[in-house]
Amino acid sequence: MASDSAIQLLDLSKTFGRRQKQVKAVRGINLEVTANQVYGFLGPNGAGKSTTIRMILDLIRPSRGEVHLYGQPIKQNRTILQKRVGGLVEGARFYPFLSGRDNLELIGRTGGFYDAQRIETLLEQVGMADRAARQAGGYSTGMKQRLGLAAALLSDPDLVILDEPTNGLDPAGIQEMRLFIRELVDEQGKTVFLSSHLLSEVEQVCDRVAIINKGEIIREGRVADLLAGQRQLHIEAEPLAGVTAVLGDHYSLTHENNGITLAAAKEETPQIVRKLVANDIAIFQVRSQRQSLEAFFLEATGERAEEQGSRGAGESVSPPSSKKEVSDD
Amino acid sequence: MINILRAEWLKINGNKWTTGFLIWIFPVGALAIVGFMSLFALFSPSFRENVHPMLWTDAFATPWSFANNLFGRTFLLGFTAVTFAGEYQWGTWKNIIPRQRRSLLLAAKFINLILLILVAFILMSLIFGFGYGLLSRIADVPYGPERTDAAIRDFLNDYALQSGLTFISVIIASIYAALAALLMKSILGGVIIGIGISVAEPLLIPAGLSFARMFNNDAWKHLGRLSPHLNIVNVSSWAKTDQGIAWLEPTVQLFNQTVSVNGLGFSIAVLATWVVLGVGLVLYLFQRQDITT
Repeated sequence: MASDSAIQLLDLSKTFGRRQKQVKAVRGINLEVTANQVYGFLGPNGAGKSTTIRMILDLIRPSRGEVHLYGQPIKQNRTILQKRVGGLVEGARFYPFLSGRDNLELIGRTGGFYDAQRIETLLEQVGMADRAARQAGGYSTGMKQRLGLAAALLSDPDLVILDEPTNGLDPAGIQEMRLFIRELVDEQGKTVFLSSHLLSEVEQVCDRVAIINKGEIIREGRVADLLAGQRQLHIEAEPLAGVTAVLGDHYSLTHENNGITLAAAKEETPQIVRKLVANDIAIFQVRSQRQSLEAFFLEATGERAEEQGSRGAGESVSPPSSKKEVSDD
Repeated sequence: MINILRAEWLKINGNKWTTGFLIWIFPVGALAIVGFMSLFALFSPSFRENVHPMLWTDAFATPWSFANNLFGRTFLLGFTAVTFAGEYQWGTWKNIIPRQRRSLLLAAKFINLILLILVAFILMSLIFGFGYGLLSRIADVPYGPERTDAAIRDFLNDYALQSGLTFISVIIASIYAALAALLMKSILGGVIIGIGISVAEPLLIPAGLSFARMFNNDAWKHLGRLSPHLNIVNVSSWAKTDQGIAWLEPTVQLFNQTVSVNGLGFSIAVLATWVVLGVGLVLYLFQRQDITT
């Protein structure tokens, strides 16, 4: 087992309910997160992200498989979880009748790592020092998230698990959080496992990423590697219906910015242009661009097709069956 | 463990309204009652004339029985439900479970709430005992028995038994509420189901009698002997009268053995079994429970 492995998920599965009411939330996930990086965990709502995170934090018992932290199975050695991991799970929640500071003291005492000085330092770092004496019940979502981050870092853990940490933060807060997360890894040598629905954020912050959909990991790799070769062509032409008719059978097309965008390598451009010209279509602009992680994510999870479908037949330019597959790494 | 207990105490103490209304209401209520009665006795001759003599041994011991009646128990169930189900309702289990073993988290809850309840009842007992002494002095009525060594020794024995009984009763009530809270994951659900179990449990006695008739098997008649309620009443009877309750057969035939079932030892054994099994069940369920809130 790799010694620099912070998290290893081995055939991890979770099924809720029994018999007919069974819901397979996570299906045999295998994943390894090496230390000292920001690892992104992406997936649409209900994909199984939070269930996976809860299994890592021993809040949910896996139906099958194992969670290893720093090479140790938490089932047999829970101390590793208590000592080396800090987590913020899906919407920070606190005792509403206690102040922010008291909530941190309580968590610190529960874990046996209470340190009043560290609490003050963290409150300062997350921008909550001046509001720490107020009852947590009156905090906004953003304030709770900040306090949640402080709670996750209270034990000075090696591994920080953050489930949607920027939820409820304003744009400035989101930017602050991004920098803070990078600092945790780059300057403090920690490992961050981050789930987020803000794909652009993951693209900017994470070193590696896993995409989960319907309880299964469908892509995993370095963000740069995943996006390498994932190019798009943006075509502005008249009539667009003609473009759809010519290319619709071969590509997944999306109407964007008065044109059509499709996933295609730069090398395919001449051939596409020739086809369009041969069909009497006037081309005003053809632009090759790198696919964003967001577009890649939507492609990978099949959301784009669903999204197109839900927009109505008039706007749907390509049947799902004719979608061009994005090749696996 | 001290740190976990302190963390739990921070929580309980911080939830001032709940703790005040459901726990401190006992000593505060006692203080209000004896305070008002003493004031009335000071200023109203007619009230003074109507003050009945009371034994100080009873005045100190009676408040403990509050934990065993439905009214007192409802408060305690409510408090236990808040202690356990509150974590689900506030979504705070997820903050502390990754930091500590579940068994220790549960143990800290049980220890804190039982200690808190016992402190409240000790205070209530002292307030009531000394308060009624003051009232008796104002009203000039006897407050016996005479404080001889023998009387004090007897009182201490009875007091220890009565408070021990309350201790067990509180643990059993806590187990009901904790179980209900774990299953319902809501404070209100915990209180309602906890009260439901609390009310239903003494029904083991008539249920046993009905089953005996229904299945034509006398063994069912003894089902009620396993009820915590019946055994608490039995222990209480021993504390007050030095004998078990007289309205049930004192012995039953079990595996060709004659077993004394209204003896103090039998009742304590039944109650201890309930406590061990109950705490074990709560622990077992909690260990296996998925925390999804």
